[in-house]
Amino acid sequence: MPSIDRRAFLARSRDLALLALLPGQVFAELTAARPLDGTGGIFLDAEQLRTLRALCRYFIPGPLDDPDPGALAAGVPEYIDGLIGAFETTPLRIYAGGPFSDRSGAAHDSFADFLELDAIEELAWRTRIEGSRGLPEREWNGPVKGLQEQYTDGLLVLDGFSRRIARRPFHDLSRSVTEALLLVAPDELEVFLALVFRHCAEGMYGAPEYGGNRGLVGWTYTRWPGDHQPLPYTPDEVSEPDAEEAEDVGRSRANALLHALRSSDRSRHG
Amino acid sequence: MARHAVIIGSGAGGASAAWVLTRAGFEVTVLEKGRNYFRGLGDPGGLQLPAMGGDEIRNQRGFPGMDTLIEPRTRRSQDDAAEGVDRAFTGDVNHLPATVGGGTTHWDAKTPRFWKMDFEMKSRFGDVPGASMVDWPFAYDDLAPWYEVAEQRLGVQGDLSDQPGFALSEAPRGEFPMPAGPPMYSGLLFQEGAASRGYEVCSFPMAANTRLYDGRPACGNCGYCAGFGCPINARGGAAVSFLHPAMQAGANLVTRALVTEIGTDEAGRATHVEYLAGEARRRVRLEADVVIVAASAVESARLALRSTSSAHPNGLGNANDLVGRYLCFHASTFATGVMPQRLHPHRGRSCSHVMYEPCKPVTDAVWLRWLGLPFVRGGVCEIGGSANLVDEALIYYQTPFLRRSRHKDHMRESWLRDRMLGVQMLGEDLPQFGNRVDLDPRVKDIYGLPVARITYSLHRHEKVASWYWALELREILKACGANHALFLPAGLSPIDSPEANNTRHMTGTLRMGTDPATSVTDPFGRIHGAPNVVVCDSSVFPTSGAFNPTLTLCAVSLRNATAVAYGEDAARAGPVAPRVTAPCARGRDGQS
Repeated sequence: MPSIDRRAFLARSRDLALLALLPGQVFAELTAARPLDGTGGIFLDAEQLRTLRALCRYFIPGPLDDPDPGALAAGVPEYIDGLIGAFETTPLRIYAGGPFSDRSGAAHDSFADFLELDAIEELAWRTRIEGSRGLPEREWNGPVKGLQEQYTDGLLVLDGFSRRIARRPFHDLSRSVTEALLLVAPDELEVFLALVFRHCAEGMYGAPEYGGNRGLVGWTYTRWPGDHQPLPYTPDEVSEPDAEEAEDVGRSRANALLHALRSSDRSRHG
Repeated sequence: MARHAVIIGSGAGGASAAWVLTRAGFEVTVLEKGRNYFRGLGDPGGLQLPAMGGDEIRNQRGFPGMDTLIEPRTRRSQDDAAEGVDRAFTGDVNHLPATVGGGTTHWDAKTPRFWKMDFEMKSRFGDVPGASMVDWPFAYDDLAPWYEVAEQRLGVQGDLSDQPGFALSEAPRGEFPMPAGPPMYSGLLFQEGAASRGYEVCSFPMAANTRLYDGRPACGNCGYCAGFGCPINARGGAAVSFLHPAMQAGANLVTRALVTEIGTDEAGRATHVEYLAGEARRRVRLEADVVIVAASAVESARLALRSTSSAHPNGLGNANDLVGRYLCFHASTFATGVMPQRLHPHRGRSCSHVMYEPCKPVTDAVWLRWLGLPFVRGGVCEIGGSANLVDEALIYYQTPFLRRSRHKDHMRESWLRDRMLGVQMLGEDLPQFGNRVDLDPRVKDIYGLPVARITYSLHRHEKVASWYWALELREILKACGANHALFLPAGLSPIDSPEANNTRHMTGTLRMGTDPATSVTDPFGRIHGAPNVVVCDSSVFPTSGAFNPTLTLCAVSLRNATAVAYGEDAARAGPVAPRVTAPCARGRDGQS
């Protein structure tokens, strides 16, 4: 039976007590990484998804590295996997419908009525996602390396780079080591990181109908209202400054909680 | 039997021409290479809400019709061209939406008029070394009645009482069709700061309803203007303001119709157009009495260059190698104040204020002589803009001195969105012979056609004007109370980057004038040597002007189309009031 000394017990008890105070979305962030770790996605396999999760978590962190839910709680890795596996799912989620979601008073979420691609758009998007695969009709400007191949190659290179430099799989790295590693990333990897970040930003801050921004976590911590129609803003809302002090107080509490968690983390390792 | 007009492009120019010609009794076919997202367009029962809205991911993915895989463009500098470099960049090069409604599906709908001086730059300020200064073949007063028609159709809001006197003396006008909407908080702050330095800032004329107008509702100030389709049709534009009534009166719209060439007879007159129809890309030949070219300054030139025949061996109207030349974009200068308070710039109409001061040329500074310039002129300053959320995240990622591991702190603090007091100056771009559109020798679009290649470099004038005003804008932003004031003058981004002067304002390429040796089109947009091919977009602009071009584009198109329908004399006399202001009747004979 493993022994637990008194100091460690107290530290963990304090963590548990703090966890009880966390909002549900933050708790979701803390637990989001684990249940699916052994499971593949729509296109990516389990190992690729694990590396991608680690990268998304680094780009847009959540608890314990940040007080607010991050990329994992928002479902960003699943958003990216859904994009590069878009032609494997129904509906095809390339262009959301319109005019309104149901977030501001409309009875129906027409964003979720994704637009059908016509044959020209489908050819372009299959080429963009799947690559040209040697098919003449996809090579009007020569061979195209699709997003699928860019991701499988990029994740492999990233993990290999991590194993070579840090002697560990990428998903095992601490946040500070990840930061140091990515600072010395070669140009080839830098291009891939920029691609992933772009998709991270879409999955975190875009409309949730595409599969990311679950629970609107990307809009909540940034105070972004998102699509607002058909509800209009009043002239005062357009022209007058906001009274934002109340919100700032809330923010301070969240920061206090973060610092408490970080302190507890440091004391455990200290 | 009605004459058949084939209109290439359903954007601001093509739609306004369709409106005139349909009401004049022409049989009108509008060919649009993109898709239609305006539900109910042309239906007798009226418009329904469109399949567009406040969705940032679609924009990131090139919606609507800006897919750079389907239709890329290439770009290089004049130096690249001199060194034999074919292209330095491939991708999004000043793309506009290829869709029904064209650029007005995503425009910010700002509609200032050009000034009198914009039509007579050479007469007023003389030649500039390295630039091709010319006067327009008509004056502000000739275009003023057409401005009124365009403003009425589009539904322009504005406040005549707060427009500066110097602007009104250069662009005299009557009341706007609608009062201005609520001023945005960020614009009010800038207005105060600018006033402290002696500058007037006023409401920005804009084609967005402030009341029920033309069957369309008032704008809800939802913030998704620039770059987005209006979900409630409150914003005027090509589709809802011109094409819809034209179709109700009988115009026929064909989508997914990419025109490959304009065919001509031995005398050089157009006889037909050929286009690829639908998703199957079936080749179709369509006979025409008149062809209206309105595909945008870049695409109209591209089409003319690939329309070769025995009468036009180098491309339509290209006997003097002028097609595609004198391409202008507005020189874009950004200035940003990071304010201590949050500005909620997402509420409003992207921006609600304008500063016209930089549109006044500077002519008496000593340093002008040192620089060899007779004047420098900036352009219209759009006040109070900001970023959307996905864009904000990308900006932080791409900013070199910011730690990426602090991403959420940046987003929370939001110094380049919620605290951002943004200004964009769209400066006059002097026309140069070497700035041009031609056909890329290797890169193709999805249809297998050569793409447009842009060869472009800023003139010294634009760089000087940009720095001059960027520094002044920074001072204004400081006077507004900004913690930090940053600026990005034109020309700092290298030509082989996506950011290189990638504005969506484009003019020139089929320049109009009275002399066929120095212009491609005549004062009514007719191509020299092909008089039944009439250009109705900003391709014909001899100079770029210092203002958002779309209202002027519409006015010119209305005038050119009126010359087609009723003759030059009628067009010179101005619009025939009962025909252009009365609601459209249904049917081909509904022009009276």
